[in-house]
Amino acid sequence: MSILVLLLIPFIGAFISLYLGTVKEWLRDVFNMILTLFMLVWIGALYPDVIKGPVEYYLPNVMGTGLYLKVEMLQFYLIALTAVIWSVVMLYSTFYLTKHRNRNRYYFCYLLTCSFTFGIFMSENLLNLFTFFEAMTFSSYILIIHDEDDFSHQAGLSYLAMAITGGLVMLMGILVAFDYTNTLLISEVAVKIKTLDIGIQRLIGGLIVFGFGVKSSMFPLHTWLSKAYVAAPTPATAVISGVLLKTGLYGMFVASTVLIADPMISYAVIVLGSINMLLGGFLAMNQRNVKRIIAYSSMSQAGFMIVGIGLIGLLKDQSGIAFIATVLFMLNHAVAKVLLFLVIGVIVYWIKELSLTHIWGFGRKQTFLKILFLIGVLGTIGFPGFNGFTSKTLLHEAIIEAREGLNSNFFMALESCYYLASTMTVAYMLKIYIALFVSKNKVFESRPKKELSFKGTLPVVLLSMAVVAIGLFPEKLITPLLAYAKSNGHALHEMPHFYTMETIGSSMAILFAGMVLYVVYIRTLLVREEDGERVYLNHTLNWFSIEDDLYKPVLNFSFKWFTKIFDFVDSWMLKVTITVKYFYVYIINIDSQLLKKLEWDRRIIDQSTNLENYEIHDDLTLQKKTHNLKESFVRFYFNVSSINYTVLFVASVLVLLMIILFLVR
Amino acid sequence: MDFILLLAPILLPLIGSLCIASPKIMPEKWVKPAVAIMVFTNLGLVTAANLYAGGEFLHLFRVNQFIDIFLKLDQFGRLFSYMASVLWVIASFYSFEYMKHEGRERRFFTFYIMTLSMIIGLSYSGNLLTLYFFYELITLTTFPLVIHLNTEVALQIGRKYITYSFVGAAFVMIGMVLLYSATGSTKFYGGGIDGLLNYPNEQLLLFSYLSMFIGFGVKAAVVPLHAWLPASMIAPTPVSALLHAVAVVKSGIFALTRITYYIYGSEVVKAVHADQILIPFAILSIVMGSLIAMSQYHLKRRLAYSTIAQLGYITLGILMLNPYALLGALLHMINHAVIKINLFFGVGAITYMTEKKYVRQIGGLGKKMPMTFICFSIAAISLIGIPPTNGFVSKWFLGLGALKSGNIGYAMILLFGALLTASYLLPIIVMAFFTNSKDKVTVDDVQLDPPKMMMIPIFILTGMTVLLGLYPNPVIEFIQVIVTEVF
Repeated sequence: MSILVLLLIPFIGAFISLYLGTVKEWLRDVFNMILTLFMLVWIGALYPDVIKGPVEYYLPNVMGTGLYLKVEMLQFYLIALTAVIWSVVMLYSTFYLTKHRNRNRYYFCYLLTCSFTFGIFMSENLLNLFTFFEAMTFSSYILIIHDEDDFSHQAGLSYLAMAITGGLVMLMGILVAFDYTNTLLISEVAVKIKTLDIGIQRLIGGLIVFGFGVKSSMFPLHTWLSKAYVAAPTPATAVISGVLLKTGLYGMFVASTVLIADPMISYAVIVLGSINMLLGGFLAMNQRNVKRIIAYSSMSQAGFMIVGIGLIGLLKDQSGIAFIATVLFMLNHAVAKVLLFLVIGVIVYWIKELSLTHIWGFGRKQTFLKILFLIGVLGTIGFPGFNGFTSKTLLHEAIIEAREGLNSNFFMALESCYYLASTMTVAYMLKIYIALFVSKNKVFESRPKKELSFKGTLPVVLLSMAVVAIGLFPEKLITPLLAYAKSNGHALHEMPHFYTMETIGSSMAILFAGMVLYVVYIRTLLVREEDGERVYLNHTLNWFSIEDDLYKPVLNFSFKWFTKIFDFVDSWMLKVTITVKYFYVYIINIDSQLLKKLEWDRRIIDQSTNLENYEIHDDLTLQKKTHNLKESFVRFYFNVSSINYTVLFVASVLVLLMIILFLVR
Repeated sequence: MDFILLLAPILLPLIGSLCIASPKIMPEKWVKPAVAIMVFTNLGLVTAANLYAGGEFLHLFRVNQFIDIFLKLDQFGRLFSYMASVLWVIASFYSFEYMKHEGRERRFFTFYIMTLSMIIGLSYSGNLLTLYFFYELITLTTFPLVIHLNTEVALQIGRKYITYSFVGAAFVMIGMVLLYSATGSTKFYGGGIDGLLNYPNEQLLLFSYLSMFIGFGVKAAVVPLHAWLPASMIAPTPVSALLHAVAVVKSGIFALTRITYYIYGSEVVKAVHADQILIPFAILSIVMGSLIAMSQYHLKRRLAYSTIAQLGYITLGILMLNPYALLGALLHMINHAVIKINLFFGVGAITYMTEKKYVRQIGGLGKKMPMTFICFSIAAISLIGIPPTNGFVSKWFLGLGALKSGNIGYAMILLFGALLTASYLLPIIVMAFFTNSKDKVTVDDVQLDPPKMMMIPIFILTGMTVLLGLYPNPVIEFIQVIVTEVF
């Protein structure tokens, strides 16, 4: 019951907030704050129960299958993360959204999305999971297109198209799973599915992973990401990157490790995850738009987590480290990335401009903001003492474990991918940090320092404290998870130590390599200085884009041709009739020579042989009494041209169809 | 007693409509109250008949073994008559307001009520000939509704409609005679007429089945026999909503289900491979209807092509010949009716209030008609098949049926169709809510939601959409009886 209430708090709250917003805006803001705080308290109160064992709730008959919610430690971590991020960003939104339109709608959808996200994490029933997932797609869509300009509509379209396609592919997977197992409960499906043919297992796993892959921006389904992140208002971008990305990852985790434990799928996931890491990292280095850099950074970091999920699936019984690494990575990435987005949001709020070419050197005097951003950067790149370090170290351990236990060549390659991607992370983070906060731009030198508002700063400070705290005391977070991991088949020998010479050394090496990459690639190739003016270049703009150069042309092409074909089928009866009519007219043309002798009224012939005029009018003088064969032939022609001809041809064509059907048989 | 119970809901609207037709009996101001009373009484009578009438054969008129008109109540008839009479009530109130806009109300309501009588007759038919009889009468009573505008174009389209219907009817007749020659009976039995499975001449059975399928397929708008449906969108919106999304097309579906499961039986259809011949056409309906809908910019025409696609789903469900698929098809028959009426009512409300008919014109209209468009959106989402709405429930069972029939391709077609549905319905919503109107003249805070008389039916339908999605079990159990009866 308590978890159903948790689901309902933001859901009902959304409607109350919508109502209050029409009365008084401050009332709504206060209500929203109290609501999110209440949510946090409620989740906190849930903790003692979750430690004892899974908290379940079953409401029969909803949607025919019942609503089945189940919270274990993993799910608890994720909903706690959701609630924390949501309340922090809620506070930030009240600072950020002061000039935007449709604020009521924003808060409404914001709270609804929160409720649906809880639903995704808590669902034990696949159908419930799907329901919440789709609902979340729609509510987050409205957040993305909040600005309602052309760009955000494009982004929204891209997002919606991908998400709905993904959703339907996932539904296909769920259908097949239900068809073979006759159950929808994740735990039962997981047991029954193991007895099935391996091909079916792979099919189900592949379909569901594809569906969630859209949300987790897995290559090649990431195309919506770069647009949607930029188009959405910054607080919305923060929650999309921080939490909604994790719903996709959670789903992939469920599909590829809980439901199906097939090495093929896991290998595929790892390969795609590695592509994500590298491609995201590389594209992030090239971007000029600050938000887009962080968007691609999210894609790259998602790659790390996807690799982690793949490793959990591969290592099976010994996947403890991989499991903890992945979960911890999700939490850390959420905290650090939201922090970065919020700082960027402050800048956007001040100078409504995102391109580095225009805003470089902006933050040199904003010392406080600089420190906060630096914490976010260090958290992301995995600098010792900050949160990213813990998860990256663990993930590295997991890769090493896999390398030692399994196919070593593959994992050697994976490890180099990991190093390379981490290096890129450092490089693009340096790019953005140096450009914004270190470089000296005379445009901004003369401007006075801006004062930060309390509502805008508090969320950022809280998050940066979290980044440091997790970095210093990761054990506090890990201990409860360990028990869960062990009891759920993710065993591990021993927890590696975080701060050893080796791990710090490797982190420093990555940092150094990243600096080198920054100097060699970004500073030399992507930045052009012309007498004090600095211009950032993006060479990837004209490169091959999966969406513009592959998806759209294929879709357009097939749409065009299918429409042409079907337009013909749509009016085939008319077309066939006209064709037959031409045939009749042709015969009449031949005969018209003969008809001359019959002193026939020329007017009728002209009418009848006029090819364009196939709408025959009834007022023609056809009442002439004739007994000639030719005349009766022409009369017959006119008769079929009236209402009867439709009947006749319809019938004859249908008979033809029947005959064809019989011949085919 | 049973005789009166079954006959009353057929005769009452028939007599009532004749009364409405005459200005002497029914003065102008009484027309609408009379219609309201009639649809409610009819709902009551249908409920009474469905609850208390037994399942005996009730002969009305008998010449010989073949020409034998009789009624019989069974679960499928109950389902269809309920659906029709409930939706008729809802649509009536909408029409009261809407028809002020179109004029010639007396004529409209006369034929409107008369069609109800025919639909109830159709659902209580006990054999194929009776069904055929009512089926033809539906064509005749809806013809004046299609040509309601009385313009040249409307008359031409009416002619098209009637031509298609009668050509179809001719095919039904051929099939029926052939069938009679094989069986000596056209009575409906759950699971098919006995002995048909062992009938030696398979070709004859196949031919008669196909012939009837083509005939009834005209009303069910199976591609390539669908052209009358988009054309008849010229009729007033309540007609498009109720008749061309529910009554007429669903009577085609009803008849198809009757011949497939109550005359031949699924095993015979499977044995003569009729399903393999016809399924491609159902799939063609789905894909083609959806794709053409995407290229239509007239709102009602877009919905009409969407109807063709959705009827394709139902036809496919009927032809897949397994319990899940039939359950899905019948559920979708109900759910699609509720959803599509709602969508048409939304479009009707737009036309009624603003005279706008094209997708490009409705930019920013969502802010002025919020209630209309919220309901429209819920219905659209339901039609796509997004949970927790009723459209999802039926597509779920159709999908399961497709997998049970052993062909994963059918399931993929279903989902692909859902994707196409999304791509022609969502742009309307996005256009309405999230873009701004081009014409700056209109004042922003003008509320254009239609009057209550139109709004309340829309609300009720939206409520049904969500409710049937959240708690589908009663309907599923109701239909389960039919499914167990025929398999």
